[in-house]
Amino acid sequence: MIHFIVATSSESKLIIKKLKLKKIKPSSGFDFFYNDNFSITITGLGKINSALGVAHTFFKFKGLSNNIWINIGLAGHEKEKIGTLVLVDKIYDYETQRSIYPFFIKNYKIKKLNCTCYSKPNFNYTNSLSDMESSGFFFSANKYSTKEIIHSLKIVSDNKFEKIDFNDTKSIERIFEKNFDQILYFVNDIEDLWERKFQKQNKIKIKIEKEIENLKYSFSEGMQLRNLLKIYYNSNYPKKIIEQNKSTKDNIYKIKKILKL
Amino acid sequence: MNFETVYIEEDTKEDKNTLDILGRIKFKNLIYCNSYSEVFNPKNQNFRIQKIKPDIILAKKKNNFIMNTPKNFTIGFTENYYFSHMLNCIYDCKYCFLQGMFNSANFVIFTNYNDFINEIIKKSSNKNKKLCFFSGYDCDSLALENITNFLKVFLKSFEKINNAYLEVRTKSTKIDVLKSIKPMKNVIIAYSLNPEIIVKGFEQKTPTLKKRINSINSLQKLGWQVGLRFDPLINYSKNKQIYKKFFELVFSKIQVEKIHSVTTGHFRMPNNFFNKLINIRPEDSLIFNKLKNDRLLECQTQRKECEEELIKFIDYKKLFAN
Repeated sequence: MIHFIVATSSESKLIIKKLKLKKIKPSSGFDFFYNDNFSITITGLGKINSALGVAHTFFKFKGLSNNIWINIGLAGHEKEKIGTLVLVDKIYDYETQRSIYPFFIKNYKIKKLNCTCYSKPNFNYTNSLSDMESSGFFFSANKYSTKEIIHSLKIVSDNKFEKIDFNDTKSIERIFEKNFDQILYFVNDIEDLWERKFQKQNKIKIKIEKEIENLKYSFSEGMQLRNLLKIYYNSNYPKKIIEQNKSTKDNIYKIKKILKL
Repeated sequence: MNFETVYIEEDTKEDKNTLDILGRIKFKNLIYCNSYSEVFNPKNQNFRIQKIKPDIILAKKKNNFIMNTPKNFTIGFTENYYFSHMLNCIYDCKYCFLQGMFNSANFVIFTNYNDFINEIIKKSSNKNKKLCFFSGYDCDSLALENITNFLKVFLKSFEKINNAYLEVRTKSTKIDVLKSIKPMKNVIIAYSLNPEIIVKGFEQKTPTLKKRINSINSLQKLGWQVGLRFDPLINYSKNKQIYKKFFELVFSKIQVEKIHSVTTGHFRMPNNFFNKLINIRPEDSLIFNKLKNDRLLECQTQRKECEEELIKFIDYKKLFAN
């Protein structure tokens, strides 16, 4: 699943509309919208809210590890044109002075810049993007997913010459609209990578849990059984192997025998 | 070689070796960092994804330049050390312990080559002792030479240390650097070899056995000392005939009398590395579990059988089990 994390409602509107996402009610502190493949969470401004929003989203959607996390939001820059879409290649947290480095599997046709994340609005523009969410978002998402499928996309909203009216939802929607196709192309590409690297293992994990749900086992038996089943299904044995009428011990013995372990 | 991103530690950006490396590579993006560890060490990175297209990190090694080898790890010298001017490797061997040890598949190059040589000079100050330094523990020493220029710079200084010996362990057939300099008595180019069927099955992106043997021949003709490293022997007991024929092939193609040393080793890995390996290579988990079980049961027999085969070709004094 692909989780979008945005700070404000105006940053979410176009994505909700284009992807036809439905609202989850009640909101439980954050506004969540979703369909089968995507979710978007409106976290509120700031890195703490963003981090909390990621954590809530994770548990709201079954707590599955290695989903895709995308932060989209507005950011300032010294001289980049308003409406420019930027892929963040380094996130520097101004307060903690810690840096994070997203990983890119290929060269996208989206400009890359680093981003400094502040706890307060910053209008002292530099050649780094400035925002208020990216570090909280990334640190939090990286607890639940590997960093290669976590990214922050920023749209320049202000520079030292001009800024958009942050209260004007329409103008925010316009600059999102302008970049939507590129955003979706990028997200689809990350999804391709996810399918290649994680989908099979996720399916195996779900299959294993379903197969052993009615068995009784101790903690260590459970670990052993899951490991053996993981080896079994990764070794291209297509058939189900667990016999529900037999004990866990017998099932472990049977799998070991088949695998010759 | 093309890279998506080059990371450079701030305090190494003006160094000559760093600038030289930048001149030899193509890259799209350059990012400065305070320490290579900010990029390389964090948890929750996916080694397999990064291996598809690794980035490069240019850094300065600050300490622990030279480390002691594990006890009994030797090719005939009593004092043995290892060092790594680079972390990670361009090859993708399934059994490689680096994927269990490191969180990232990015290449780290420590560009302060002279600091390594200075430490080696210090260690070698007692001229009565013969010491051996192993390069290529955490990388392949030769494979990225066209980018690093490490050996070209390093060997000039190493040649002058008479009581120090250097093992350059590799699977690479890019031997241009060795062709361009005079062979040195205190340098051993050590080739890791396995039967072609194992190369195909386990040593992805590496040169074929035939190409490695050709390189050994070229180096021997030039006058370089060459060592053979049969490490790891994969499932030796079950592949006995394959290995027997393989040894016959190797020793029939090279100048046996000029071989410096031969070592053998079985598949070995600390448990935590092994578990990580299984996790990131789930599709190979069965074979690795079998190899691990074999190790426990058959390791001693395997070593003995293998040594019996090898002493048909070489003097047992040149044979070491690591």
